[in-house]
Formats: sequence, structure tokens, C-alpha cells
Amino acid sequence: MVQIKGLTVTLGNKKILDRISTAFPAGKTSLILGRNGSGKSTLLKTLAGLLKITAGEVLLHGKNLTGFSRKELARRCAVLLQEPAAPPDMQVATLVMLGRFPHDTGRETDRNAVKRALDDLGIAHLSERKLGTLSGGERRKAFFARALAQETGLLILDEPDAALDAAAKNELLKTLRELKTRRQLTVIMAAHDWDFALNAADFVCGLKHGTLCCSGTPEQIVQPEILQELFGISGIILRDKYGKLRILPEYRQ
Amino acid sequence: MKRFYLILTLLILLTGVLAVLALKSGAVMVSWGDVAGVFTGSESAQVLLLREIRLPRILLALLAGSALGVAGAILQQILHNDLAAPEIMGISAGAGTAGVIWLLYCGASLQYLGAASFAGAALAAAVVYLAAWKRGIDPARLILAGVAVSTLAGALSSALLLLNSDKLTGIFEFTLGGVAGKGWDEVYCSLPFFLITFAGCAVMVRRIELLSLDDHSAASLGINVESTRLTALALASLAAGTAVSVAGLLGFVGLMAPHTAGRLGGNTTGKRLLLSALLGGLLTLTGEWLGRIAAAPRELPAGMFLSAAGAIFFLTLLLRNRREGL
Repeated sequence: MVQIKGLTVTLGNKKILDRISTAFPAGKTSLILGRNGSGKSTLLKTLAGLLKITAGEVLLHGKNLTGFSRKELARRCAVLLQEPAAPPDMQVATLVMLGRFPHDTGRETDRNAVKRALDDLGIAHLSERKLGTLSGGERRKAFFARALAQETGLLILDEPDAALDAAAKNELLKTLRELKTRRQLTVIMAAHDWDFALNAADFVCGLKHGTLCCSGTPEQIVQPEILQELFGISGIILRDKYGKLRILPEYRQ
Repeated sequence: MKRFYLILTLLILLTGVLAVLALKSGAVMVSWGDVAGVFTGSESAQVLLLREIRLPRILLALLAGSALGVAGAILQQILHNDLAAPEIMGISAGAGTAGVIWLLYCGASLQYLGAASFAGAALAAAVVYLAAWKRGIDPARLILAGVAVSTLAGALSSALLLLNSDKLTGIFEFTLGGVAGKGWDEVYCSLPFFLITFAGCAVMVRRIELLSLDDHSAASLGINVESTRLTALALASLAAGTAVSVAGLLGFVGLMAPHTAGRLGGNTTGKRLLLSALLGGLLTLTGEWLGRIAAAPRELPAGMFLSAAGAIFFLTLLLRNRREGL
């Protein structure tokens, strides 16, 4: 369980997050919704312990985030950033192996964890390829595999669907569900594709100008008036033949 | 993996062959039997010459070149910049200027030249680091600061040499780079520093690899990015400072070796550091050997050949980048 209480983060002179309080349930996928610049990435980075907290606190399993050493935190929480960087001549397997750095386990255990991560994302065949030779989607999966190789209980994903085509998003959605169950993961993520995000999420919270404006189950949050408030657009909420929520914005009607 | 080990073996063999050639070549002609005598314990005058004069020079060329190669590889990894090298970032120039000051004003004692050069390298690295600091280190800012410090140190060295033109013997060779006139004393004095550098690299190899990622990714994997980068920078300064103290300013070894290592299959930090060390040693030994045979019986400083090779390397890099449309 990740709990945040009165979280405020200031970057430079600008307040990016303003007194946010909520709790992300354990073993569930939580989705952070909001427009560009609403503070989603800042919130995710703060939860991963990468940004300094100006006020308030983040509790991981009841313990203040600042009480963990960097390595302890890396054993509990893995993060896939929006635009991670690595040398283009680095091999996928090398990148994924870096995910094992926080663990002082043996080489064999590390190799197995890397193999599991590559297999889980279906990119074992890319393991010897250099990052510079991959497509955007493959590269994204390679970084995702690095986060999975950390084998943490908490996974923070900033737009995991970026650069993926429709088929790959569908595949990722399935993988995320499987992983969540098999690895008993708590996932907190931000995503732009509503269909992808809402069907992956158990819990949703909406950010607007750095403040929390709503939180609840997808069914509770996906309401025309909340869409209007969060994104400034009108739309219709539908359920498809599988019972999944679909948002049809006005411009597509 | 197989290709890497093949290249590694070839480089080691090539270094061995070159070391034997360097033992054989020089102002005094020696036979192959004398060269073999170095390893069989012969005590003839020629063998003593090889053992006491040429062998320590070969070892110093290998050690200094390896250290510069390693320093360049570390800097390129941690600053995410292919142009990062001790020669470009002012670390070698800082070490060189401190060496020149030591030789001119502090009794020209070779015994402490190593310490003076390391102090210069560390000071230059510290100035560059502080000048580039602004809520963390930005690689582009670090390179700009390095160029400024390098230029300043170079200007200071030139001014000191011009003002002391009567005392130039030995110092001029120092600025050109090479191991002429060095012996076992320099090997023994510098060896602990070289060993600390190489051991430090072995200990820090995974952390250095993490620093090749963006800062947030590296931090999310459990390291303190700033302190790790500072430690790696200190390690590179120690490597470059020690190399400059025994071999003077060897042009662009720290740039050429890691670049070539990357091309030859150094796709992990460990492999790149190892190949950079071997290539740096090989390059410097080649310069040293060429210096002995090019104008025999006169000797030319190894640094001259390395600077020329550096210029050709730059041009090749430029032409290749243009072909690849970069």
C-alpha cells in the first residue's frame, strides 16, 4: 500500500503538486489521469523517491519514503520513466541486467530474473540487440523489462503504452494483468490512452493543476462531468460488448 | 561474446609482440639473443641495458596508456558524451601544468612529480565539476567547463615555459609526452597509483554502467548519482594524473582508446574498460616504439606520434559521421 499525505512538491519556484492526499491500494493497478502538465510525472517520480518532497509525506508499507536508503527503495519500487535514456550501443540484456543492481544476489539468480523479465514481455529474441537498432516500441519494452528485473512489489509506470501500436498495447494490457496476479504487484501508472488505461486500472485518481480533483474506481471516475473537469472535453461513456468502459469524445462522435 | 574474447586475445598478443619489438629497437643495437636474455636471467651488458632502461619504459608506456584509456572510458560513460576525455576536459592539462610548475619551481625532483601531477589533475577536475554544478551536473556544461579549464591550463603552461626558456631541458619533453629517461624508480613510485585506479575500476564497474543511464533511472536503481559521479570523476583524475606524471602529455589516448574499444565490441562497461586499457597501452607503446625507430639513433617523444594519430582519428571520425549523415 502506498499512501500520500498532504504531498507538496516544488520545482524551482513552481509548485507542481499541491497538498495531495490519497492511498493506492496494494495488489491493484492505480491510474493517474490528467492533462499534460497536470503533475502526473512529477507525482510518479516523487513516489519513486526521485524528487525532493517539499511538504507532506509518502508512506510505503507504512514507512516514510525518506527512511529508505536508495538501494532499499530500489528493492521495493521499480520505475519506468517517460523518456529513459541509455547508450545506443548498449545491448538489451545489459540494460535489463542493470535492474539487478539493487539486489546482492548471485549471478545465476540475476540471469534467471533477467530471463523472466524478457520472457514476460516477449522480447527474449531481442536480448542481444543494441538499443539503437530497436523500434520505439521495442525500446520501451526493453526499459520495461529492466524495471521488471528489479522484481519489486511496487511498479511505477509513466506512460507504458507510449510508442506502442494498438496490437502491442493490447498485449501489454494482458501482460500487465498477468504480472499483477503472478508477481502480486502493486502498479501505479499514468497513461494517455483512455481505453488502455481504464481497462488496466482498478483505481483512478485525477490530477488538475497539481491538485487531486477526484479518485475512485474507473466506473466512479469516468463520468461526463469529471471528463469535462479533468480534460475540458465533452464525451459519451459507453460499454462495449465485453462490458468494458469506452470513452467517445465529442470530436469523434 | 566469442568475438570479444578473440579481440581480447589478439590485442594481448599484439601488445606482447610490440613489447618485444620495443625491447629490440633503439639507439643501441641488440640481438634477439639479448632480448631473450631479459627473460632468462642473463647478466650481459646488453641485457642489463634492456632490463634497466628499455623494460621500465615499456612498462610505463603500457601503464600510462592503459590509465589514460580507462580515464577516457570512465568519462565518456559518466558524462554521456563521446568527446569526454582527460585531454579535452582539462584533467591532463591540469596535471601537465602542475607538473611544469613542479619541475620549474620546486627543485625539479622527479620523486614527487607524480603527486604534483595528480594534485593538478584533481584540482582541474574539481574546478570543472564546481563550475559545471547547478543543482546537479549537466554533461554539456561539464564539457564546456572542461574546455575552458584546459585552455587556461595550456595558456599557463605556455607562459611558464616562455618565461623560463633557459630551463627547458626535460620540461619540453614532458609537455610533448613520452617515457624517455624514465626508469624503475618511476615504475615503483607510480605502480600503487595505477593499481588503485585499476582496482577502483573493477569495484565501480557496475556503478559506472548505471551512470550511463539518465540520472533518474540510475537513481531509481539504488545509487546516489552525484556522489557516484564524483567518485568516478576522482578515479578518472587519478588515472590521468598518474599517467601524465610518468609519461607527460600524451595526446588523445584517452579519446582514441575508448572510441575504438566501443567499435571493437566493448558494449558493456566492463568490456569497454578492459579494451580501453589494452588499446591505450598498445597505442602508447606504439608511439614509444615509433619514437625509437623513426629517426634512429635519435629518439622522438611518443606524444608526437600520438598527437598525429589523434588528428587522423578526428578526421576519420568526422568523415565517417558525415557519411552516416550525423
